[in-house]
Amino acid sequence: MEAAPDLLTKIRERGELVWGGDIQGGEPYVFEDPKDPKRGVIGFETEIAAGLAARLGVRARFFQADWSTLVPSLERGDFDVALNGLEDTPSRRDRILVSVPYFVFGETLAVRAGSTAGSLDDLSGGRIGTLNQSYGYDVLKARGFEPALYEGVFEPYSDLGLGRADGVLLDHIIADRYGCPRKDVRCLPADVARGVYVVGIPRGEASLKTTIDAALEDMIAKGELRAILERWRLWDDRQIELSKPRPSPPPSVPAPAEPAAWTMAQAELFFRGALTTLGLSIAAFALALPIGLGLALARLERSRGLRLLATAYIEAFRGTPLLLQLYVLYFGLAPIVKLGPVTAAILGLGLNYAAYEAELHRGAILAVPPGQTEAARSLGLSRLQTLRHVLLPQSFRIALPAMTNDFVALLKDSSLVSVLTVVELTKRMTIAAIDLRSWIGPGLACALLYFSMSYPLARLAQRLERTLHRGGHEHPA
Amino acid sequence: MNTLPDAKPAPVAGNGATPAIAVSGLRKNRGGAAVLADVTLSVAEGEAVALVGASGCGKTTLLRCLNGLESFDGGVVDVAGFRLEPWKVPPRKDLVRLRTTVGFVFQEHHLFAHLSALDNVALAPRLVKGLRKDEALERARRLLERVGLGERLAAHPHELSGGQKQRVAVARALAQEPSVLLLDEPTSALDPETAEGVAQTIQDLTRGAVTVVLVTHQQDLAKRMAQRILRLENGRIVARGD
Repeated sequence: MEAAPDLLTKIRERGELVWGGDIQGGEPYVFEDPKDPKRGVIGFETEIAAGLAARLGVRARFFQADWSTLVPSLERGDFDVALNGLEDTPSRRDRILVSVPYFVFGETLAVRAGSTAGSLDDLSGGRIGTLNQSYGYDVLKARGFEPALYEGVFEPYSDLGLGRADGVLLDHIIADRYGCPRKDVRCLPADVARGVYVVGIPRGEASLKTTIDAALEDMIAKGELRAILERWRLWDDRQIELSKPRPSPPPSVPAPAEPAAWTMAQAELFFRGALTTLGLSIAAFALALPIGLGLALARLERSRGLRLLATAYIEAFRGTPLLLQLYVLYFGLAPIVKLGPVTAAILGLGLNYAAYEAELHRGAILAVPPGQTEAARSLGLSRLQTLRHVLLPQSFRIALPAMTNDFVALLKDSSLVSVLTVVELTKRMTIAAIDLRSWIGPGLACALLYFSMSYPLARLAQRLERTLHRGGHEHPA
Repeated sequence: MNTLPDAKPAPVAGNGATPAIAVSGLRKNRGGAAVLADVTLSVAEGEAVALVGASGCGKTTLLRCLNGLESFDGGVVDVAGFRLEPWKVPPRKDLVRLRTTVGFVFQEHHLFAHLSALDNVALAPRLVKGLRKDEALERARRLLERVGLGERLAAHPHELSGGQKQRVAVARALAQEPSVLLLDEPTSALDPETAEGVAQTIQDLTRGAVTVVLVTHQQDLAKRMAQRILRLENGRIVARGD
């Protein structure tokens, strides 16, 4: 009986080694050539991938993936190997095979310029930023911190400079490029911890691991790796460890973290995440409603200026992605207004949904039969009285089912604010998935909590709709 | 002032009192055509006048001009001590007083769909006349009793029959204690029997005390309710009934 061909055989048959990485904030790892983005990617890892592929006798092909989901993507088989600043950690070794190291990095702690902190311990209890799924995250957890998780390499340092974070712990390559050169940031000279980058290989592909290890060792022995790193100005004293006989096992810090189990503490964290989601959504909707109503009335005004302003607002907020608006609000406007993550989240969601509520209420007001306004006028009610006592009570009833549906949508859209480091339900799930080494339990818990919040609301909307259709409504003649 | 050759002196009611409504040379165009060509009429205080004519002859438009629901292009309207002129929006204060002095009942009742019968009638006295809430509710209750709806105070419009709705609409207009009541086809959407009842109620509540202008295309209703019948044709008053 012949076993299914292993990955190494497939790579050779295909003539192509597909390697996964993320070009976002990817300089010097892997990034689009700024001179000619169409030419493909460059970076020191691109050259390492080429070196590996050459030794396998195949071509290298880059596959763009989100860095924080590199391991799950590798498991899914999106690419053959993950080669993108993947740190060697116990949790990774639980899930995938790792190669010998190709780079030694230090965890650099950056603090605000002018801060007197001299070590991580001096920042105890502070807000320390790092990347989701990074080695810095493990180090911080092991030292008792609750890290603020960012999706990009630029944002944590910008928040540090603005005072929205007290420190940033990231690999020295990132710190040297994005943090330390900033005037408002100071990097501490000593490495908080050391770690190594390894190539991620799917579990069970031992022959591929042996081949990749041999290829890397050959590149180290022939000085090819050193040449690449020197070309990218990454060679430093840390790299001497690479040529030592047995550079693995993994680095000194932190103590191997056991996969956490589903405990009451985990469940409580999920509930807290759900409460955050609910709280954010209610606050955002409470903001969206009055603004939306104001915009709706402005659009119904006789004054052209007001109408134009309201229309411009609505089109701008409906015509651009919410994620972009959140980024602009939190990071883009930071030099002018320094909003906290939660404030920015509520404001961002609220301002965005105001545009949708505006159109909803405008439609609802127009749906009130004109005879109602006519009757109010004939009785001497002022415009404001007509609006307050005749139009709005009726338009609100018309709008209520759709408003409830919008709230359910907002509840789910609120997961986007995790990019502002807010830990709501979805973010809680991704964190738990890493801690528990599984997406299934956290995914189900997350889905269940969203559903238990949105389903009753959806039913309520249906009931409201039925009540509305039953009557209580003047039918236009 | 009116120099048009066919201008007629304002017809004044027999008792010779100051007219409650005096319209002279009223003109209104819509889309280039004259809806009201040259309307001159006068209604004495306490008098009930019916305006009849084919549909589309402009009688509803004329009625709406009498309380400023619609603007007009020429002529003058004097109503209950207020003067309305073409393209001149009266100050808000005057308009409110005009509207509380001149009540209006629509062909389609236009009751506020979200309010009970009681609140429909009490709303304007409270908001416009500034009555205390309990006073307004008490007035509304009495009026609804008088139109025969004492048992349906809490009913919402969709729970009332066509005739009941129109009675509430009459009570709502009268709650402002107007001296002039304008009725636009108040019974034409009702079956004959119901119409009869509503007409009777209106008569009972207004006779002699409130000046009434009734627009209708039903000759018998006009005869029954009005002391005088004016016929409108091609935007002019062409004949006067008895």
